[in-house]
Amino acid sequence: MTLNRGVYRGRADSDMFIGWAKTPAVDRRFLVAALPTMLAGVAGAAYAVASNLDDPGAGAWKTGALYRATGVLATRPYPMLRVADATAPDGVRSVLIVAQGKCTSALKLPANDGRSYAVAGALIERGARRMIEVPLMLGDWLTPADESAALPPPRIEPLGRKTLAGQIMDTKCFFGVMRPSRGKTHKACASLCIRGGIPPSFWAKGRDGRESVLLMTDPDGGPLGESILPFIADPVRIDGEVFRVDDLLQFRVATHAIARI
Amino acid sequence: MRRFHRRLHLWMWIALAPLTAVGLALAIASVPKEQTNDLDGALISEAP
Amino acid sequence: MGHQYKAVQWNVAKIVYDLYCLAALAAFIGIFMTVGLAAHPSGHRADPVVLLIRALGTAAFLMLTIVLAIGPLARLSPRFNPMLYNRRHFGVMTFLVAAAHFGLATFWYHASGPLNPFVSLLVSNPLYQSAEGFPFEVFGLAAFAILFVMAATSHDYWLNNLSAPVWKALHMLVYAAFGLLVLHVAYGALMTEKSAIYPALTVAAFAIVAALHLWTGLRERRRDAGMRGVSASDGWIDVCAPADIPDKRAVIAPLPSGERVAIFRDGAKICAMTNACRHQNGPLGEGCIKDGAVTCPWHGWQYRPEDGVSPPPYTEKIATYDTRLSAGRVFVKVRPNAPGQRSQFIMMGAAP
Repeated sequence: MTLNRGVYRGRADSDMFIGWAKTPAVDRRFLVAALPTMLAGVAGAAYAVASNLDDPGAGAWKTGALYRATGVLATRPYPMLRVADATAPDGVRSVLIVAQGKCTSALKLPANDGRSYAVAGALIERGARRMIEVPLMLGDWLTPADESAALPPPRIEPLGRKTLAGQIMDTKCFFGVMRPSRGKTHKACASLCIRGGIPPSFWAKGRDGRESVLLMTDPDGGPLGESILPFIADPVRIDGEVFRVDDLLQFRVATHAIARI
Repeated sequence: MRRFHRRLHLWMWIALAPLTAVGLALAIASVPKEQTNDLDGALISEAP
Repeated sequence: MGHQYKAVQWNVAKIVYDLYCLAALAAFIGIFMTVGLAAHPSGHRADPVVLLIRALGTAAFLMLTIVLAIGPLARLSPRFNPMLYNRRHFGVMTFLVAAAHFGLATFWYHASGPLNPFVSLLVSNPLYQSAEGFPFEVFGLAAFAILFVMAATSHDYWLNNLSAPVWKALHMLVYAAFGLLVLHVAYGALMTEKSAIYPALTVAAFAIVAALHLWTGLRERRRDAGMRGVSASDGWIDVCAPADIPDKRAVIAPLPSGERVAIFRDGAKICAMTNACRHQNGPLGEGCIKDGAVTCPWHGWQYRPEDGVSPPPYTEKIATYDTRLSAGRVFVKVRPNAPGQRSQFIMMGAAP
């Protein structure tokens, strides 16, 4: 017999699940099959999502040990120590200096006087790129060094005008503090870091998979500031002059030469 | 559920499903492609 | 039920339910972290904090997907009622996982910088005019605000004080939260990660939830439309024959007002009452008669069939409807009686 349209029967099962009563056999059977299946689905989802994440990139943040470097202090374009290192291309390794957190302006540095200093902090390392993160609680993170600086003056080699497509990101996260440190999900962090004075870098990928990491400066080789904030972590094409300064590549860029792709 | 909730439920989904679908499709269509360059040797700073 | 509120009225089913959910959550996070850390060689190992942010975010999205699938699945088969029973705890768990994702991401990406983290959350990503650059953070923040309000009111204290209709409508905001979360994922993770598995999984989760809700929603609308044209000029509607109602079960009929009435049969007795349970407006007519009382399939609340009053010590009341037998058909009076009022009901085999 059919019911009127809209009229429908409730359950016709022999038993009904009631939370406070004994679970009927039919529900028990269903749950015995469904719960392990769901658990397997959950495990499979975790595996599928976690195993397909992009390569987070190289880099390390060695917070466990205090790293010390001695060299000549430079403050332009960004605070760094030029350290004698036989393994570096011209015997000089640049070690960028940043503070803990996302503000580097908190660092009080002496004038750019060409004298030697010892710096202590945590090492941040990506391939041959070095950075030292200074804990602000450490009062004597910077001490004048007695040894006379036997470093040659910086070797500056122009590599010509280049147009490169890639991404602007902050050096601190990129050199190893955050892996991954690229793309939109990291954009806010990179913007804050660069706003806080952490040197910006440009990452360009070659067709063969090799990469170029360049320290970004203004057209005169000075620090770049908040003018590049609107372009951070977006796909951009930049026209600028490339220089090699000691072991670092420098990308000297005017903000108007940055184009969003 | 009461009729008000049945209607609210259905209308919320009739409104939400296409809105979300359009937003999702727009996002998937505008995922940025990875940019690559012809890098000469002097510019290479990292191994692959 | 009672007027004294406890944080949770525990029973075995709820404990088993919560333990299962916690075990599944722990398995998800554990597998995600283990696999994520091992996915790339040691020099390229992902940052555990970033990985945990992603594990928590993925878990919260998956949990909300499951929470939202349970409702329509339970409409399609009563086998899913055990999953519906303690869904509130699963929902609160989803909020807590989302809160952990939100807190950790805000701390890791937005704190210890030159801006207040919450200001940074809104301004660090300013490309509101672009699809590709649109700040996914605001979608997540809006969804989280909804989940917060829902989790905060996920207690029978609020249910009772807001009244079931208001509470139920408020909690339907969860559908908007789900849409916002889909967009949060689409404009964040999908814009960053390259593997095609992520858009595929996101589309699948959204499509399953939307299809289930539209399917069951449209089915309910067809049922509601069924009573149009049925004459109720004398104030009574013809529902069915007595034999159409299985013993201890009900037939559900829409009234011209659009509300539904549940007509139960307990042996020779046929009684009608509103289909909306006093608790969360669950479908009483899809329940059964247990120990002589109408029992809601959602959370087991009970009412006496004749007067709609919960058996002592409880005091809840629902509206009843008068029924009469005429020419071998069951008729229901369109106007409800006051909640708790003893109805005029049918005794089969009794003198007319």
